[in-house]
Amino acid sequence: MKIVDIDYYAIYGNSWLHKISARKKLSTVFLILLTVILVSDYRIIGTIYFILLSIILFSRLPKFKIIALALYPLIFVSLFILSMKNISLAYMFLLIFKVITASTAFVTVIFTTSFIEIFKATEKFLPSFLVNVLFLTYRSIFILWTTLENLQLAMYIRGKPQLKRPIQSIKVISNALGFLIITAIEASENMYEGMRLRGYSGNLRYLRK
Amino acid sequence: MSHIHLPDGILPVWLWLSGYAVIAVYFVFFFFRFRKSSFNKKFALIGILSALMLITMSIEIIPPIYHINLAVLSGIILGPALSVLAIFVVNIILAFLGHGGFTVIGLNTIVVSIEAVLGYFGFKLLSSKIKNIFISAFLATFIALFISSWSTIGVVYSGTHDMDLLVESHNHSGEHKELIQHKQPESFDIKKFILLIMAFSAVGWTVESLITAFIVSYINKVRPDILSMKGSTETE
Repeated sequence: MKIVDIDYYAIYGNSWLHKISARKKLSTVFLILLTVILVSDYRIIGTIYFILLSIILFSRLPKFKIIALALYPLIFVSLFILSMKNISLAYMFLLIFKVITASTAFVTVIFTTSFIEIFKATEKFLPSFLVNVLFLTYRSIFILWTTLENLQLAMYIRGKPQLKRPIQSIKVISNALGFLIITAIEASENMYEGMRLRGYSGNLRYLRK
Repeated sequence: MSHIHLPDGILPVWLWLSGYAVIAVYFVFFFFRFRKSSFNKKFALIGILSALMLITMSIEIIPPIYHINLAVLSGIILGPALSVLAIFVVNIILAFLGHGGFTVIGLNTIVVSIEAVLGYFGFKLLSSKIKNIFISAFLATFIALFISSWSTIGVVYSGTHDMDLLVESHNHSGEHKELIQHKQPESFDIKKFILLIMAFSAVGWTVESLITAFIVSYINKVRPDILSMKGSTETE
């Protein structure tokens, strides 16, 4: 799932979850996280997960996209479960519910709240330079994404990477990434010059939605 | 698999709090090390390299288990101190995407930073001894990924001691005995975990090292000044 697509849903979505303030949503998510950390009963965490699932299913949200993204960390927990001896069903459920409950809560927030609102809400808790780097990272994703899409198109036109020639394909992809990095660094230089011209002195200002 | 993809609520509190404590120490160092003006200059670069790491993470080598993250390359370009900040930012955004837990951001940052820092020093050392920049970058990346994977295993292993306690308290709560199929104690088989991690990682290390080496060679041909930027970053 591309970050750019998630951001689109967060900004242009129109569900009741979108209308709740970022601060309230983040507080709820951290409450859920605290429960996941402290509670060792799979039924309690399982109930929270099904409540979250119901919220997603009965909202005007891209349901399957949210659920699929939230299930992603399950793959890594399955490696963990596979490494356990004599694992009971209850403990397995506990691990699974802990994983998917926390990730579903975070993914739901990110699908209904733009990164800008989240950074703004965290401004009071995080140092300003960190919030500024987060904001610049977010902005840079869109600049680089456009370049990457153009590069992908160019690569496909000139012959896409093939499994038959793995080393050659890796080289083609790497050269494209190398070009992307050079473009990115040049963009960062331009960005800094632009920021300086607009009076940047260490703090970024951004508009509320 | 250089990244701990273990989510929230599994690793013991003392372990993930230690991760955050190490990162807090780094921030104290960061405040004293970098003057505001010199940091402002690198500010946009950190942001753009963090974005680059996030974008390249969508390139999966063994879908969906292993993806590249270009942490070593970020280490080579940004230098060890600034790359840790970039990695921390990447991990915060990834946590919101459900990719790694929020509580393990500190630990994830440490593990991935080990890659970046080792990659930086490895590349610096090897490129002074070996003339071929491709081989230097390949070896530096491969060694960094190998050691960082072992640090992942180390973190998981440290966490599994408390996990046994969690399992015990969970089993003896007496509320769901119907689901417990046997009375033998549950334990974490670290050897099996190492085997699983190594089986997935071996191919990933090679491919990521090749990609990094090709990228470094390309940059060295087109904009060699970028590879020497690390020096300016560190001295400012």
